[in-house]
Amino acid sequence: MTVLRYLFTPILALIVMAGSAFAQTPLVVDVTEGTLDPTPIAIPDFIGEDNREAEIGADISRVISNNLDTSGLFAPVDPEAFIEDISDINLRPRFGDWRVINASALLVGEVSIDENDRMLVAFRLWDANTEAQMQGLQFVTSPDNWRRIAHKVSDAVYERLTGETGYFDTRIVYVSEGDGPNGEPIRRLAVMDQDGANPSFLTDRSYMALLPNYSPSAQQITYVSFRDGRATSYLYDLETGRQEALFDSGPSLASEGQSLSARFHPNGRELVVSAERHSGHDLFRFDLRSRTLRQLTTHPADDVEPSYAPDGDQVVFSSSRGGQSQLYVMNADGTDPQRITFGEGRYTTPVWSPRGDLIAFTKQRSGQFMLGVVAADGSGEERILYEGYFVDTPAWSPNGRVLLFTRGDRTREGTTYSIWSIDLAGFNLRRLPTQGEASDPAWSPLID
Amino acid sequence: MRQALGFILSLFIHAGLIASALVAFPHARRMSEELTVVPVELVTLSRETNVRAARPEPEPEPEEIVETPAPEPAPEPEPAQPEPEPEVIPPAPQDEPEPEPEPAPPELEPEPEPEPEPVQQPRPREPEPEPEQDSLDLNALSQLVDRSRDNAAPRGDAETGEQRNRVGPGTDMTASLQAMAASHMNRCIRSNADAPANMDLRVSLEIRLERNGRLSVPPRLIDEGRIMNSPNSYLRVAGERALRGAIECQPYPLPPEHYAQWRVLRVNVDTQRNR
Repeated sequence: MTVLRYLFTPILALIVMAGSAFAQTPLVVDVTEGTLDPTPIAIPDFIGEDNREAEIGADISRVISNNLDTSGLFAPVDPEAFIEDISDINLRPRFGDWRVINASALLVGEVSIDENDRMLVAFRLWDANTEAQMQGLQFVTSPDNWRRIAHKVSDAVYERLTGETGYFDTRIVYVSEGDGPNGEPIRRLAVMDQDGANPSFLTDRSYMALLPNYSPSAQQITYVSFRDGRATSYLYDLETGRQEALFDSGPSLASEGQSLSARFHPNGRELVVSAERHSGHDLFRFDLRSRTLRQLTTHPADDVEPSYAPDGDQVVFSSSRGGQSQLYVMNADGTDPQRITFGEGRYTTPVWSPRGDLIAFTKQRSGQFMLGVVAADGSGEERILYEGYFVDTPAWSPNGRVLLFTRGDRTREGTTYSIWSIDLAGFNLRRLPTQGEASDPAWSPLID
Repeated sequence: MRQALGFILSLFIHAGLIASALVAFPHARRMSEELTVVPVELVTLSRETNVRAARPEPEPEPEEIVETPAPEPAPEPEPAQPEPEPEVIPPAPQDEPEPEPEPAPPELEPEPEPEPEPVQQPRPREPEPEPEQDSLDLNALSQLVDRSRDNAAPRGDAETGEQRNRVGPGTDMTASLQAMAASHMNRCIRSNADAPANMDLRVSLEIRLERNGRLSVPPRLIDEGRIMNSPNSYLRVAGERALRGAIECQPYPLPPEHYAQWRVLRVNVDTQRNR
C-alpha cells in the first residue's frame, strides 16, 4: 500500500504526459500539387503631394500593374475594390482591409519631385497575410525616367515574390515587316521596351535586316544584312548607332532563314556563327577584337544556328549530319558533338536557356510547326509549348521563364507575322504589342 | 526495501522528465523561430540598376512586425519609423540609349534581297487553337476533390473520432483526414513549378489549429533558419509561399469530431514532385 502511495503521483504524471504527447502527434499532410493561380496583389496609385507627382504616381502604378499582370504570375486586384485609401506609405496599412479583398500582397509607393526636378520614388511591398514588409526601396532619377522606374519596381516585386530575377526593365529588338511601294518586302530592325512602349527603328528601308541578337551587355546587337545575294553579319552599337560589317557569311540559304544568325559568347568578346566557306555551312568562332574566324566544325553536312550555353562552355546547333535536321551539343571548341534530339520531324533554331537547363527549339512535322523545350543534356522527353500554322525564332527572357517567338497566321492576303510570348509551362500566351507585322525577336538582358 | 523504492521512484521521475522534454522542447524552439518570420531583405541597388538610388530604407521596426503574427484582428495603423532623410543624390543620367531612328545604312549597295523564306512552307490549314487557357481545370479538380471529400466524410455513428483514435490505430480515418487537408491546402499554397527543374524546394510547416479550423498560432516553418537564410532564393520563396498559403487556407474544413487528430498538422510541401 505504501508502495502504491509512493508511485501514484509519478505514474499519474506519466500517464498525463504520455496522453498529452499522444494528443500532440501531428497529422502529416503532403502537399504535392499547389495552386498555379496567379497571386493577387493590390497596387494602389503611388501617392504624390501635387498633381504632377500624383499623375506620375498613377502612371507608375499602371505600368507596374500591367507588367505583373502580363507575367501571368500575378493578378492585380481591381482598384474599385480597395477599402483603405493609402495616404502615407510610412504608416502600416490596415491589413484586414486588404485581406478582405483577397489581396495576398500590397504594393504602396509615393512620388516626390524636389525643386531641382529630381524625382524620388519609394515603395513598400507588404505581405497582407503575415503583415510583414517584404521589400522597401527608393529610387532617385529624373521625372521623365518614370517608366524605367516602374519597370525596376516591377522587377523588385517580381524577384521578391518569385525568387527569380524579373525581366521588365528590358528591351526587345525585332524585325518590322512591311512592303515597299512596289510590293517588295521591307525588313527593318526596330526596338521597343518589353511592354511595347518607346518603339523606334534602328535601320532604314534600303536593305533587308534580319536575325538580331543582343550582346550580354545589351549595348550591341548582331544582325544579318542581305544584299546582292549574299549575307553579311553586322555589329550595331545601340549607344552610338554605329554599324560595322563583321564578315561575309556566304550566299544566303533560301532554305535556312535562321542559319546565319550570329550569337554572342557570354563573355561578350566572341561570336559563334554559321558561315559557308567551301561546300557547306560550318560553325565558326569569331573574335571581335582580332576580327578572325576560327572553324569549329568540318562535317560535310550543314551545321547551322549555333547558340552558347550560359557558361560559354558548350554550343547547341542544328545539323543535318544525321539525315534530317536534329539538335546537337558540342564543346565550345568544337569537340565531342552529341545529338540530343531523336524525335520525328525537323528540329531547328535551338536557343540555350539563360538558366542553362533547357534548350528551346522549333520543330516541323507533318506540316505542323511546334515550339518546344528539351533538357540540355537530352535527357527526359521534350515538351511542346505551342503548336501552330508557322512558328519560328524562339528567344528567351533573361530569367529563362518566358519565350518569345515568331508566329505566322494564314490570312486572305497571305501569311501575317507577329511576335508572341508564352511561359515555360505553356501558359499565358500573349501577343506583343508591336506596330505592324513583326518577327525575329531578341530579348535584351536586364538593362544596367 | 527503501533503496528499491527509491530506485523505482527515480526511474519514473526520469522517464517523466524525458517525456515532458519531448513535449516541451518543440515549443521552446518555436519561440525562437517565430522571431524570424519576417526576413529582412536589403537589395543592393547598384547590382540591379543604373538609376541611382538612395540608401535602401530600413525595414520598419522589427518589434512592430514581430508582434503582429496574430492573423485575426486587423491591427490599428501605427505610425512607422519616419523615413530616413534621403541621401542627396544627383539625378541619374539618362543612360538609356536613344538610338537614332534612321541610321546611315552600311556601305554596301542598298539593294534589298528577296526575303529568305523557309523552304518547307507550312501546309495550308486552319490555325491550331491557341493553348491560351490553362489546361489544368482547377474548378473541375476541386469538384472531384469535393466529391472525394464527401465520400470520405465521417459516418455519423455515436462513437466520436477522438475516442476511436485513442483506442485504435484509426489509420483509415487518418488517411482520410490527410487527404482532406492535402486537397484543401493544394488550393492555397502556390506551386513552385515555376522554379528551375531538379531543385530541391521541399519545406515543412507546423500548423496548430483551433476546433473551428482557424490557426491558433501563426504557422511556423520547420528548419526555418536553413530555409530563410538559404542562398537559394527559390527555397526562401517556397518557404514564404507555404507560410502564406497556410494562412490563406483558413478556415480548414476538417471534421470537428476528429479535432484531436488534426489539431496539429505537419505539412510537407513538395510541389516540384509532380512537375
